[in-house]
Amino acid sequence: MRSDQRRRLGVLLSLAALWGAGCKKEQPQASMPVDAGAVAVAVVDAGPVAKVVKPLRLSDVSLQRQEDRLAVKYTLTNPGTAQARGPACLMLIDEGNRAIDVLRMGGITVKGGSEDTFEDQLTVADLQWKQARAVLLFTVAYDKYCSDTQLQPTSETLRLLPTGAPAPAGLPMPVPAEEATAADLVVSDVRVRRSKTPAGASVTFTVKNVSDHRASGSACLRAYVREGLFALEENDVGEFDLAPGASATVTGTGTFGDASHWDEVTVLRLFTHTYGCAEVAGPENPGVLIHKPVDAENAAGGEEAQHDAE
Amino acid sequence: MTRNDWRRRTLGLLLVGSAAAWGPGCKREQPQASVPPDAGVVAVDAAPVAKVAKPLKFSTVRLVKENGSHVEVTYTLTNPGTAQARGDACLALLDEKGFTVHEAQMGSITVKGGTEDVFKDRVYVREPDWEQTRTVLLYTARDYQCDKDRFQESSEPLRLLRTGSPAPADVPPPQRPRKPAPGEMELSGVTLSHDSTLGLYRLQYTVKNVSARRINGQACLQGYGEDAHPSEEKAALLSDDLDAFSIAAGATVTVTDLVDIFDRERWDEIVSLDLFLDARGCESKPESAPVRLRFDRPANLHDADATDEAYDSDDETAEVNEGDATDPAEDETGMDSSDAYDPDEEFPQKPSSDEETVD
Repeated sequence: MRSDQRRRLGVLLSLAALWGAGCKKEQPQASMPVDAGAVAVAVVDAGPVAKVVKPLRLSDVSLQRQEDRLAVKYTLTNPGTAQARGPACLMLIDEGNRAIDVLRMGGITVKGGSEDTFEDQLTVADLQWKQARAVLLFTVAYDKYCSDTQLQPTSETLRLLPTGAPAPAGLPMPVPAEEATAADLVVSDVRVRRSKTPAGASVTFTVKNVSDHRASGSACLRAYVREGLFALEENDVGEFDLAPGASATVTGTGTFGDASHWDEVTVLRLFTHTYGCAEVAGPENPGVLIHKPVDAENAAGGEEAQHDAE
Repeated sequence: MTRNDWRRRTLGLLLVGSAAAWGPGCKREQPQASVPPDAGVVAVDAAPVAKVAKPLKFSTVRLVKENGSHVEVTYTLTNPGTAQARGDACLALLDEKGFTVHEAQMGSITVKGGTEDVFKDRVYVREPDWEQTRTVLLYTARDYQCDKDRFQESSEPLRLLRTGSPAPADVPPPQRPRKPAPGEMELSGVTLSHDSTLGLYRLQYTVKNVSARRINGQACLQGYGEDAHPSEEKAALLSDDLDAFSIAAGATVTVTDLVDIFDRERWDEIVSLDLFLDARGCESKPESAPVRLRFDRPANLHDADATDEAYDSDDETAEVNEGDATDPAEDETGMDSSDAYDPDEEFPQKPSSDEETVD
């Protein structure tokens, strides 16, 4: 509040006190109107006060899922006197209390001693949402990120079911997600089919997470004129997000930049990694060998290239 | 209901509540609703009130330029509306004509309706940009839209001198320069060198603004293999956004950038390079960029590891023939000027005996 506003409110309150003092009834009770927060601040504003930091409190959360959007509404209360500022975060948690993903909802600021309500829209794919058994809401400091693995929330964390209803309390913080390496993933049953469009193809594969942590990423199809050369074409062809021990059959599509390359390439490899095609092929990321579809001209009913388990 | 009515009702309730606490036998009259216009009291009224959005106001600004590359800004934002204000606080550096030299996000802000709060942010600012700055503009915008939203999108922008004092009232209004067009910039002195200490490549080039107005832009360096169709996104083996620049009319700037070669093993596979300047660097297409230079990858510049063993000098340098920089307005024969190169002239090499390096 500006200082002139405070002065006027102070005058009003003084007047109120005068009226009260002249009254012959007992001393006024402190039955302040419901939302007296602003009044309290005004009265206390007598001089410099050391700023006290206290964790924000989350309340009144609603979650609304619509297609791949998630609308989140939440109230943050700041019981301290220092301003709270920083990102508000939402973590998706699987049935093993592991983090599937952590998303930044939006930046928030809550003045000391006050509260405010926020609304954010997140994009969450079904791939992740359907595996979520709980969500966790929290805020972090201004210079931190929601995705930091060593989380130091600046709020109390609030765990809810995906419906928004309260979740069982007392559970430990979820295990943070980690980057998956090629060694965490085993690929089998790869089928590549040329599509009706000259340059396109559809790829179906089974990927299993053989590590003890969650593994997510995408598959990268690389096509080579021959082994040992750099790839002539590469495409991300499908995403996966797997609990430890889980497997999934994924179908994705890719398109060559130049359709005539289908005639030139003799070797295909499928790579699975957290970063898909952004991760370079190499000893740590060897991919699995697939022989290309023999009959390249006849798409959709035509030959399939298969990879059998090595 | 007008804002003043709402406040009157609110304060009335507040005082009535207090009076009620003192008991029914109290003979005091109900207080008059002599309400000051801006009491700023939080609504107690349970009836839903339509939220009104009003522009945020900046006040009490302190600007401290640190030595080097940051400015620390402390500012108060007041929200005179009833709707929450939420978004980014922004800082724009403006030249003497009011044109933006640089726009940056200061930080994310929220100000509850009817309240104000103090914010402190530290903003990265390049020295060449600060030197060209005459006034500073503070404003708010939607998330991540500091360089896109109108300046008055959600606040009354505040104009200051670099010291933080208010700017004179007669300064020209803030504007963004329009995108660079063909014929407005000249590119020369393109040099690609290898720094074996850092294991990185360094690209240096000079840009002259031959137009009559400020130009803001960004350079992009792309590299292609033998089989590439440069018009397609996927063809580039290397694509690196280089530094942004802001050049006043008639001025020249020489830029040195480190090139991020993501996949060093593919460097040898790169046959030709493409340096182009446009509004948004690598987001732009090279064939439509106002200034563009294609050149062969200098044969002597190999991957870092090989170079360390093969050569004595620390820096392998290749001069690119700047005369072949193409301007779409002038070049009628097509964008690829590499056919015109004479390899012997193109990459003048200092004989290694002339280079004495101290290890």
